[in-house]
Amino acid sequence: MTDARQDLEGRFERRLRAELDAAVRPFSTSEIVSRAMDAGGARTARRRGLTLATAVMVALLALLVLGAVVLVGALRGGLAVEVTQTVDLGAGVARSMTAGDGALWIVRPAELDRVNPTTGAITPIALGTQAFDPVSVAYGFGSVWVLDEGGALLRIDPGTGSAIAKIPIQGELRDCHVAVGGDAVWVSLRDAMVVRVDPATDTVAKTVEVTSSASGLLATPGAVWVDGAGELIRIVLPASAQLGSVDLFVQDDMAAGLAPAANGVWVGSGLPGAVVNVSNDLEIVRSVDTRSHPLALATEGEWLWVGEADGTVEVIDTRDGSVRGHGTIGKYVRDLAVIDGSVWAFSQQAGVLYRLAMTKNATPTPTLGSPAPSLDPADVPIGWPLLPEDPAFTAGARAACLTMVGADPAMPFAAQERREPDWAIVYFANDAQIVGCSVHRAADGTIQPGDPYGFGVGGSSSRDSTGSHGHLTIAGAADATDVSPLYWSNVTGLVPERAARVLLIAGGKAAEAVIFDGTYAVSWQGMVKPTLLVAYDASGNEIDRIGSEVLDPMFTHRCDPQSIGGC
Amino acid sequence: MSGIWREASRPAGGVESRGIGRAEFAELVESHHADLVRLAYAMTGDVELANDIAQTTWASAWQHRAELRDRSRARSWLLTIAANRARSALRRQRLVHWLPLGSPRISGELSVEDVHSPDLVAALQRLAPRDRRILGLRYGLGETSAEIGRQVGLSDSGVRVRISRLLPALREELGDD
Repeated sequence: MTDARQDLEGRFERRLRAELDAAVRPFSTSEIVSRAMDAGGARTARRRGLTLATAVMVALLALLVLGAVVLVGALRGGLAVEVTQTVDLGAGVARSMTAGDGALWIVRPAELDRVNPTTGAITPIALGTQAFDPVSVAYGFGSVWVLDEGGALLRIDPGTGSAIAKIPIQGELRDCHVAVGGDAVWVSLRDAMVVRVDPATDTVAKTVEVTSSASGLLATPGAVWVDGAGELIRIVLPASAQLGSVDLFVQDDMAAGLAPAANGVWVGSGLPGAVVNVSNDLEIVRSVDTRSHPLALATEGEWLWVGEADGTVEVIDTRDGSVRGHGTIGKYVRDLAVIDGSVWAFSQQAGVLYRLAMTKNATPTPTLGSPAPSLDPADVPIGWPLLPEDPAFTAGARAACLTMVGADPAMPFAAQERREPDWAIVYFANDAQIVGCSVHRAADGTIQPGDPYGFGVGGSSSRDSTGSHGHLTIAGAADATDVSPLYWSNVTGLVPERAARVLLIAGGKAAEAVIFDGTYAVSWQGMVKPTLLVAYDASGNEIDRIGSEVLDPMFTHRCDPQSIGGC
Repeated sequence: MSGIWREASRPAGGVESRGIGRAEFAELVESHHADLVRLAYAMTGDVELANDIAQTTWASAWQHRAELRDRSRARSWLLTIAANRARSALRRQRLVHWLPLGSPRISGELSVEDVHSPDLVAALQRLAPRDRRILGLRYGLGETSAEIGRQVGLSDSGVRVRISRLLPALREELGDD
């Protein structure tokens, strides 16, 4: 370290410590301990303080959500994505796949394979490279580009299968990516850098520093997109500099897939699962819920294909966000590629390459993700699924919860858990009765922090003082008090005069507020900021509209009932 | 329905002990409360909020104390809870966080001018929450890069690289050229 650097660090440390020290208020250890120990009691008191009206509102809202879940489950029913061809990949888990020169190209440990999509024949490419360990493959400029963890980018002639060029890449390449787009080939490095390779000279032309390491990389004609640690980064071309990033609130290092969109990019988001359309100016335009965590995306015409952790492949119409259909292959759908209008996928579990097609009778399902701006609330479907789930499970969960709420608790106030083989009920009790309940389920049978919940009911179904489901912590969490990447909040307020119905519009989805005793309450979760809250009178006429400029999620919104339109 | 009833916060192995007692908990408060406030303040830039976050961190820690099986990790555990709570607070304030960066900055030789800003914490707020956390842990609390890496999910070298990029960037934000 240089003296100058040490000098700067020393001064920075002194100044920062002084400022931070100033923020520490005098405190009494015993008082803090007492407050901490009493916090449970305080929460109990808050729960006692909840009015019956609030409890009823929450219960009704839950019923509404249940209805939406059932509806969506029914609408999503039917297998519309079919497997039309399989290719046994044999031993060796595939890592990455691309399409080019009339073939599919797949890399796996120590191997590059060419797959004939017509015959399914697999041809290993003998590169004669010792310790060859490819991690990613892409096609462009008439070549197959293979990223070798050994420290090089190989340019392969697809006709002969021979290496045209070997471009040394400095830096760790484990789990890194290569992408082709615009006038360059791009390589991500683990230490939050992206390298631009000039295909004209087969040399590294530039290194771009970004704010986090890539778990995915996509190059489009105008930009390079980096799926970073909890953020999506856009590198603008031709300047090759990071333009900015948008925080997606996904778990760090959780690969979720990237695919080009007409207005920017589609990116997968986890927990519980969504694909998000981000525009070129880094605005989240649309979010569409998926059945589980997305791992790979591909676009084919207007359709977005989504490969997911539970083995689901979903097809989404990018024009309106509607789910066209879905099918299932082996767990952990790692990559998708499109060639000659056909979509190919492989999963980590199955070791098989699948050719997928939509069934001819696939029909669009009503959307839960139409465009948010200039939205007519009357046209927005009500509700959305908290958890893409089968109606039978949700109904059972609801029944189980409702059975428990109001019963005597097994123990004094505590969050408690009842665990079944593949799901768990978490309930919340004060010293008199159980006041809240939520059901959680994980696809693999283990209940972990952040697992999606199936149903919640009661005055409070969270252990967190914010009353947020998204903050739930279940046994086994070491330090997770905030495990959800989603916004989950409540808006409450006074009902505008004459209002018979209140809708909240968030990301093209609508939630109907429960109106009770002169107040309304509505909850939502999602990644898109709510844009409108609209009130209607008994005749269906709009009488009030609150825009996003004042509708601040996570905070209670209050409206003067005497001032229609003046909230 | 059949099933096993147990406390949600109890480890899966069914350990009966609730872990830390009041006296030991008080020792933790004595040792770490100020640092929880410091970290929360570095991340939020709000004194009141930082003190509130520290208090709620203790409430959460007490409630979840059975999950702290390795006492030697208590500090890391507490700082992580505080950081998560700070991040939650930031989310409530702003749903989508924008991070304008301008041109990329390459780490290298630094000049020896002092940092003259009257308010470094305010300048920190222009960085991403995770970067505030890293700088707060490193320079506000004196954590090692290895320990920071464990808390934020980066390698030791990754933290050092990150800091080497952040420092000059912050200097530039402060107009200290």
